[in-house]
Amino acid sequence: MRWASKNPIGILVKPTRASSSSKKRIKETPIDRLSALPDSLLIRILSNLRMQEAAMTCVLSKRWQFLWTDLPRLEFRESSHRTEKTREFVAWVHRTLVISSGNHLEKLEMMYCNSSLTRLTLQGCIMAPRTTIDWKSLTKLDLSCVELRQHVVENILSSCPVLISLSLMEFWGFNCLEAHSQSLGELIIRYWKDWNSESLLEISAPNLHYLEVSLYAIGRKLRLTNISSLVDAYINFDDFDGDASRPVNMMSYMKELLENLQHVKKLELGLGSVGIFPNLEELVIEGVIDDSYEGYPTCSPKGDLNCDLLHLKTVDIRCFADDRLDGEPMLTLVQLLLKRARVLRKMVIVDENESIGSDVYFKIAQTLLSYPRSSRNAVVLVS
Amino acid sequence: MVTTDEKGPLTAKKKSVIIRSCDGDEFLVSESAAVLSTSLKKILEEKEDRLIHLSDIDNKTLAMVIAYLSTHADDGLSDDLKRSFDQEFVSGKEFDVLKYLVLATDTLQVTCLCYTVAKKMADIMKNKLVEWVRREFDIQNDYTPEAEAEIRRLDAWAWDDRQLEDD
Repeated sequence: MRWASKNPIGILVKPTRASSSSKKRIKETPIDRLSALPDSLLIRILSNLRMQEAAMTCVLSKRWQFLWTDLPRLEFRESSHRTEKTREFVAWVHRTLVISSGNHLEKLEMMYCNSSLTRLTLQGCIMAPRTTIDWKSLTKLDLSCVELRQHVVENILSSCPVLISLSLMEFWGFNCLEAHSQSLGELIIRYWKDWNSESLLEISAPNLHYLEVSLYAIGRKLRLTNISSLVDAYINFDDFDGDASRPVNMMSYMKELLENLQHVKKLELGLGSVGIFPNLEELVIEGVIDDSYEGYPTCSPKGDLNCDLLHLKTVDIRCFADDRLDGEPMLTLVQLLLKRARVLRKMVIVDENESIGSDVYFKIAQTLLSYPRSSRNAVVLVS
Repeated sequence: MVTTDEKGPLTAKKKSVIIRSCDGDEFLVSESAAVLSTSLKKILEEKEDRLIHLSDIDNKTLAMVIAYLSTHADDGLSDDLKRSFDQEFVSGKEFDVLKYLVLATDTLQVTCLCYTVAKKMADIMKNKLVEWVRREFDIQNDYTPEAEAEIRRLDAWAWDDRQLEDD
């Protein structure tokens, strides 16, 4: 061969002390021929072995005990249906993942044919099942920081016949969730992170009774259809997703969204919703109290606004207090608005709810008037 | 390119660098071969000096790495030929030699060779009993018998259905 005819070693221009040089190797008499290598190189060597074989090196010595768990590819495979085997396998996967630093992890794969799984929680992964999902017994599924393509979501929803609760946090990859399963009653969606501007997330789930959605308001919309069984909803719009330059244009679909929610018995709106309208000048909040409901539709303010309302001049609040809740949620809301509305001129609070006794009403009014106001010119009228 | 059939290495028109091993041997290497090592490339970009001293690579290992680099820098060789060179390069080498090679190629960032050597080392360990690996590489078992038994019990899953060699 051609290279053999050359001197491929390079030209040794200055051989020094030729007789002794060959003996002057680093780590002349290594006690342990292999363990002296740095972890990164040992892992590189181990990554050429089948994972099971690499895992066996844990028994060599303490130096090796956890080394293999940092392999770039962890592939767990188990196809046995024997309970004992399955339990061993699950325990082993669990231990490994707890130990693994994950620093070098490129791929995590679990081939696990088990339809007796009842709860599954996954974080920080791309859900890309190679085979058909068959989670016959799964009742609770929690996924966070996951990429879920549309077909994967559909696959999951159609393959979990008894799924009761689905929670998705910080996810991306799909924009339509159609859950027609009889069992799915609870859906929690927090922070859909699709990048497209003006993205629309559609949720259709006829048997859902609890829905919680937190969305970054900027550039994202939510449409709820076919949610006739919904009893309890919490909708929160957050205003910050690291991109304040994009315009917020929510009014156009807010009405539709709320109309679709009108049958629910309990609705909580996240206060971030007000915070995302920093240019608001006039705010009217009207509570509808209808005794035919078992409960009352309420808007429970929680937390604080994350910005001042620099333009809000008039606030009009009507029928918003619930005497059974000692004036809440109105009191908290008024307190927040008084604190944040820097140029407020007039706040009118009208409550025509005759069921409130005059002593209770007087107490509520007193509390209202005692709240500190950031606008010196603000007038608060209670009638 | 390191050649003896052109005008002689010292007068070659192509630029050369001198690389010195930790035990003082100096090798004249064409720059085109040296820059296949990411580390050497960086050094050459940063300083004018044509003499590079490698304080942790011995002459035998360095000679092997340079042979590899020179072969891969040779435009006259086909990729197939280079691939078969790689296979021949690692075959038959003792485990210790491979160990120094894997360290040197890691230091010099000759990634491709580093992976080839690591794979060869893994091949030697493949399908071997723990006892064989311990014996062959003088790995001191510092577990107590109880601790080792416990680890074997816990990770029993990894031991499943295995046919291992002890020779």
